[in-house]
Amino acid sequence: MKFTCLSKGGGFHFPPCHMLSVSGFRILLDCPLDLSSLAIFSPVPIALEAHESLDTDSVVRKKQKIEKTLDANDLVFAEPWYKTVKNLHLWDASFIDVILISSPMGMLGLPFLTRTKDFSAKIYVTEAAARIGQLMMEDLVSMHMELRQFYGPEDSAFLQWMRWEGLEVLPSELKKIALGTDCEELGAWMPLYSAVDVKDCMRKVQTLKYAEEACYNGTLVIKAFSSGLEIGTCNWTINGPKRNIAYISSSIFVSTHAMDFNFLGLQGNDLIIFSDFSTLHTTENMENDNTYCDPVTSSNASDDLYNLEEIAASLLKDDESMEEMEKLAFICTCAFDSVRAGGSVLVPIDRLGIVLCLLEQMSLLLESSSLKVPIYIISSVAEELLAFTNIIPEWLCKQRQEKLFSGEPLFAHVKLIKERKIHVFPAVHSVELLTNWQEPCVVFCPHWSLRLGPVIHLLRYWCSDPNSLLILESGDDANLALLPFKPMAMKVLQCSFLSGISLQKVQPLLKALQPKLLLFPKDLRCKIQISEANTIIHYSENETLCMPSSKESTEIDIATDLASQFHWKTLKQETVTRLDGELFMDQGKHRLLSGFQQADSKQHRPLLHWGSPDLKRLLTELSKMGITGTLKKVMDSAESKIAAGIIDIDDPEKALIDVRETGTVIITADENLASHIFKAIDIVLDGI
Amino acid sequence: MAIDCLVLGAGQEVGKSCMVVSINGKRIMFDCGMHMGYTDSRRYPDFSLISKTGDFDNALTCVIVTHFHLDHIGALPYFTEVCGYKGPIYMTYPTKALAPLMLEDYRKNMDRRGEDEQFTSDHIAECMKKVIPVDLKQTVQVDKDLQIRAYYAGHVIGAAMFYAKVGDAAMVYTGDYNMTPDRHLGAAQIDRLQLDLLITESTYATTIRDSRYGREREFLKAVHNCVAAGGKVLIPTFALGRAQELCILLEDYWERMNLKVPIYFSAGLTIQANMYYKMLINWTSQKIKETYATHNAFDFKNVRNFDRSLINAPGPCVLFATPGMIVGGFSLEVFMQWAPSENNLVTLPGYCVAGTIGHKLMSGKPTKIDLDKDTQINVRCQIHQLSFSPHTDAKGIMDLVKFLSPKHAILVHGEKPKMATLKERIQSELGIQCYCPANNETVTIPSTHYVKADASGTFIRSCLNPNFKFSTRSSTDKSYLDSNKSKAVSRLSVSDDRATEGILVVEKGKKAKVIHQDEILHMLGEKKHEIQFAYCIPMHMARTEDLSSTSHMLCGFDKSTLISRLSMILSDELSEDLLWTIWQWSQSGFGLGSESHLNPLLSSSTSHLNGGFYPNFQVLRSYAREGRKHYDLFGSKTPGNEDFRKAWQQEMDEDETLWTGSEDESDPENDEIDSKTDRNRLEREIRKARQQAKDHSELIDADDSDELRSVWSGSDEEKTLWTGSECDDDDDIPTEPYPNESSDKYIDKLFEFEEKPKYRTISELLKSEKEPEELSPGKKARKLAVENALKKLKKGPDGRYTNVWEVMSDIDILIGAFENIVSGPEYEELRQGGPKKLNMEFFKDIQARMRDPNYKFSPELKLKPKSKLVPKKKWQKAQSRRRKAQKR
Repeated sequence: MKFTCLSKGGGFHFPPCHMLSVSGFRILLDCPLDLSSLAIFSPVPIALEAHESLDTDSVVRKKQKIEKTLDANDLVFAEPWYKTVKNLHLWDASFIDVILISSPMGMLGLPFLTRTKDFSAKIYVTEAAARIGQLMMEDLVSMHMELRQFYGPEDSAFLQWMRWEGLEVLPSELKKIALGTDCEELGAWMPLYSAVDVKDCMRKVQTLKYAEEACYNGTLVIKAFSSGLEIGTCNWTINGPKRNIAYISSSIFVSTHAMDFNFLGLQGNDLIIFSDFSTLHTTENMENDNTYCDPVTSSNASDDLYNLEEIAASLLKDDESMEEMEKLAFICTCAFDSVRAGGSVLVPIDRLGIVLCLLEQMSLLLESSSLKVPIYIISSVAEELLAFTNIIPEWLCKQRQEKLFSGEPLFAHVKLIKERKIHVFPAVHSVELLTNWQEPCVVFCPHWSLRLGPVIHLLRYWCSDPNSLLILESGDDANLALLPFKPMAMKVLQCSFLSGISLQKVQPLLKALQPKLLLFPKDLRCKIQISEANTIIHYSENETLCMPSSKESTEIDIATDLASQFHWKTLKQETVTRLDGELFMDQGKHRLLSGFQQADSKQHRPLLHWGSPDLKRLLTELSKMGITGTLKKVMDSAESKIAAGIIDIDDPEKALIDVRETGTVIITADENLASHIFKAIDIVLDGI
Repeated sequence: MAIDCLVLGAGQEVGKSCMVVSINGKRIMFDCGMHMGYTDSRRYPDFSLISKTGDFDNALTCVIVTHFHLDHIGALPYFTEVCGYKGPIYMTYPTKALAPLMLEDYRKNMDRRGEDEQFTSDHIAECMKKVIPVDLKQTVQVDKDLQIRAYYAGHVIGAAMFYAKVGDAAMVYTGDYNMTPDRHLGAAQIDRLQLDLLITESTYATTIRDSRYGREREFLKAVHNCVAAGGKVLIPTFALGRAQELCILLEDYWERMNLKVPIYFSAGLTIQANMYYKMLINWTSQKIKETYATHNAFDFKNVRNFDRSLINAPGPCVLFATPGMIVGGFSLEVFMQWAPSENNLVTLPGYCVAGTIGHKLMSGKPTKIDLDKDTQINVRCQIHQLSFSPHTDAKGIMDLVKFLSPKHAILVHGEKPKMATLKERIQSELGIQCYCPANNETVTIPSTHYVKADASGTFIRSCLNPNFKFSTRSSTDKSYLDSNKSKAVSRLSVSDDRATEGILVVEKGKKAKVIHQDEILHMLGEKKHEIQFAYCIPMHMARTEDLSSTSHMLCGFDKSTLISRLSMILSDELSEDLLWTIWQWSQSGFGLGSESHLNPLLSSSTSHLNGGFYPNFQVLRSYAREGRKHYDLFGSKTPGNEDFRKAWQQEMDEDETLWTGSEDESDPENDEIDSKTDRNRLEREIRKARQQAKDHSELIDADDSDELRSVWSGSDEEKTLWTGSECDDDDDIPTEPYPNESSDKYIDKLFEFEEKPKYRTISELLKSEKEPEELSPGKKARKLAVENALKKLKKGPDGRYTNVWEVMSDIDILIGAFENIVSGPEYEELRQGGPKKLNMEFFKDIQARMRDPNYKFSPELKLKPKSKLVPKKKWQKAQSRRRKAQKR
């Protein structure tokens, strides 16, 4: 088995990406898009006024101020390209056999792969993730198309900014995004796929139900278990004939909306790939200041936990989700204050679950006050997305499922839309929006790094209003993201949401899962010490690890009815038999079943002999069959110890049997005689 | 190992489905239903048979409920709350959501009838708390050994077939299922599974159903006629399933017909049920599922709540009322009011249990019904029976059994005589052992069990490569001899003996091990002893004394001298006398592929690629070239089949070119040495190559063989789901034809559901006939342009258009006409760049426009392909016809 980490990603919106080789199959885990790199482009309406074409003058001018602080003019004024996983393009897409997608975000880069020639991989995605992912891709394409109208069709084959002169003049900050720290990531940039590509991609996707067993090629049994991060997100187990693997992506034990992290489903796998980098991204900022390397030792906590139930209970303590709910409540109060002051609130957040919970809480808060403030949701796919969330009880958390059983809508937005407290519009310029528009208001819209879609228009509209509030998810470089909208008088509330397993819970989790082998990110090594796994292998980006086999031999299941038909033969200590039937590979198991065509005429005759025949015995056996012959010649014993010689048969027909040390030759013109002689020799010899 | 099936209900009857199956120590109860026909103890399954002591928690591993119908779930609250079962219960999400409604409804009705209460509302709520919901295809690990999985069953929303597996034994319990989709549900579907046992329902064990569209049409016609005449339609139905299906049907029809007659749902119950349906839309059919974003199909626009005061309100209406079968409750109340009027209609969907009013109405046409001693109802209203049922028919059952090919099948949930017929069919047609036990009987069947053995790498690797053996079937195969067709059937059979190369070794105290036959010698420390065959041919030889000398030499000299002597004799004299000639004999000695002629069993002991093989061939060939007529490969024996001879001939030719041994055939001794060294060298090479391959394989991948995939027995496609057809089969043969059924064309038109009729009312239709159809301005202009352009087209004497270039200047025409005109063979020359060169760039541009998906290509602009030359008259005629048609 081989494992290569292609990218450790960047937070919730850019999940990590790995390549795995199991049983000769190449498996790609996730195929995301680095949306944060969109920030180097300029959102058109703003740059339009200041923009001058990239002539020599401006190049010189830009070069001079290269060390100055960034301003909006430094951004690339061009139709945006998109950055895929940097090392993925080094692999031949046609050699990938399976692609496993763990989250909707993890499939945004998929059309780039599926549109390549000779792409033949089977893509497994959970039903819910596939639908949400598709809607996200469709939204991205339509937002991009909107932006493209400003630029018109591409004039040159190669983009200006991607030439060396263009890259040279980029400020170092942007250059780092464009080229990567080692200046090797330029190849990862791609022009966006089309709507047709998305459709085509979705056709190639095989959707799975929760915990549905998918059997790839009879060899790999692949199963998805909920990870709790978001609706439809999952962790994978891959069971091959020689190894059982569990892949843990960013997971949340107790979720407020999605189905909880089912870690018990991951039990019993000997290899665990731990791929939750969330703690890396959240604490990165404060790590820069003081390079503290204080590993979390939860030993005192884990010592008194012995049995699985206790561990499970401790993991499922919903303190985290409580914290999340408090966060949401705080956001709501901030929004409420701002609305009361006459400002509007812009919430460009892409997390579906957070948005749904915010909608519920915010409308509750607004309802309790006497304020009549409308909530708008502006996105080309919002309507469908909201409708979809209400028909997937199977993918939601326990509390939401209870709503199904009591006959209530799964999310409150269904009712709120009907009561016209929430308004859903496909775009900023839709007529209904313009007639309905009322300020102050609360607007939810997709984030897209603040470069695409309705968010830029609204942000530009409100950025000089000190009463208005922007609620932003921290993590991406907010400074760069907000650059085109500066100076900002608008208030900005940056918040971070739980997006993975917290460090304290890693240890108990691994204790519960009991892997023999653990693949753990090298970057997290200094943060946590793990004592549970028998062997820990640390992996880092772009490094291929080879794992030795855990089982030496393969197991074969032989059907009992077939086994009872075997002709057993006892040798010195062993009992042996030749196998029969047909060997199948099913569900990752070798199975020997009785063949379809029953061997009607097939007799069971030994095919392999060993030892050497006793010539005298052979003669007596032959005479029993009515074959007479004479021993013509015996090799002298000095040459070889084993009897060798020629038997001349003259009755019933002429034949010769030439017996030597390593073999016997039966020479005759008569088939019947030959087979009789063979039988006689078979009796004398050991064989199978 | 065995599987024990204890039938607690639905054995040779319909009602109180309940089956307890023990597999490998696990005990699963499938369904826990009640019988609607009884009110005494026969109502529930006899749970005491499961456990005498009543300790059900230890007696059962889990309970699985397939769907929410009372005959499948009715006894569950009683079992859990009164009998005290506390273990896990599994059902699908919709079943868990809807079952309480069903149970509550039943409980209320029981209450109303004054029967003693078997369970309370609290019991239902408590019971449902124990239920673990499962999704379709979700593989649930109940405990370490037991695995269950649900498959879509159609029938009602959330109905599932359940697969259960313990160790190596596996089974499927279907519950009720439907193989044809209805208005809101899809057809049942399941994977190809390896099963020991299939327990299937057999409600329609002998019936073959016709297409449901005819029945739906009848129903709508009856309803429409009734409301058109101002009558009231009563549809007594259960709250879930059928009500929604009919409502979708009616809603659709209302929409099309622009009807405004109100549709009512009797209690709040059914409206509430619609809420569930809306959320569970993923469990309905594909068609309905796809519409969720724009309009949820269960958001009925025309449906309103019914108020008791509306019973006698004037005007037509349609009312869905619970309970079905008119067993009592509200539907009876309404029936009593509406039955006396002949304007009204009562539609009875599905099956009615004997003894109910519904049953009385269905059997014959009663004019009076005695409700009890004092009450009598005059029945003058029309009665319509809806005969579509959400159960599969006999064909569906057979299809399922055939598809799954279980080792054994058990029939439940059906009528005894019909079940017996079906049982016979399954046994005779499919060769599957089948049972139909009665209630409280136990059926025991053997289960699959696997012996586990470790396999060596060599064996697995050897299994990766196909190892085909071709052998000819003996000609005494009588089945082929009988008919003349025997020649068409190839008697060459192909077998793949990969597995037979494996040897199973069992040693005391050790796990059984499978090794490759090459490995056993090493294991035993023995040397291989090869048994080979050499074939002799009779030959004529001149000097008889040679015979004696040969036989003399046989005992006197060593072999090499013998061969040299022999070949000398042979090359000298060949044609005269018969002589035993040893053909093809050398140090290592081998047969000449003749073994397949001799006997198939010999085939594996010889190897064709052997060093010494060739010299003797060479000798033979030289004889052949001399053209002596007495040379006969097979002697006096009947020659083997033609195939073999041809193959043999070919092989010989090939082998000759592969000649590697010494050319000097006169020196057999050299040959012998050469062949020996050759062979050793070959062996060395092979060994080296093997070693290399082995080393490499370790380098490439430490544990996994890259070619595991090739062992897999089938393509992925083979594993695809089995499912009933998504639409009604055309070859559905109705068992009961409708001889007097006359088709109303107007209504038929409305039934073309896929396409909306253009006109809602006749007046609209008439109005539209007066004036031509309205075209969009753009279309109009384009049509005009094309018409004009086509008029301008002129044909030359050779039948080609002469002025295409001028006419084609208009882009709009080109879009319509270009492709057909220019791509024809007449213009081949022009495309190649003839005297008048076509501007291909221009056309490409147009083609690009034509490919634009947003471009609306109007069919009226499509010209006929001009691949054939059209006579001018015909063309003109066609044109005038077209014009006429347009005017009209």
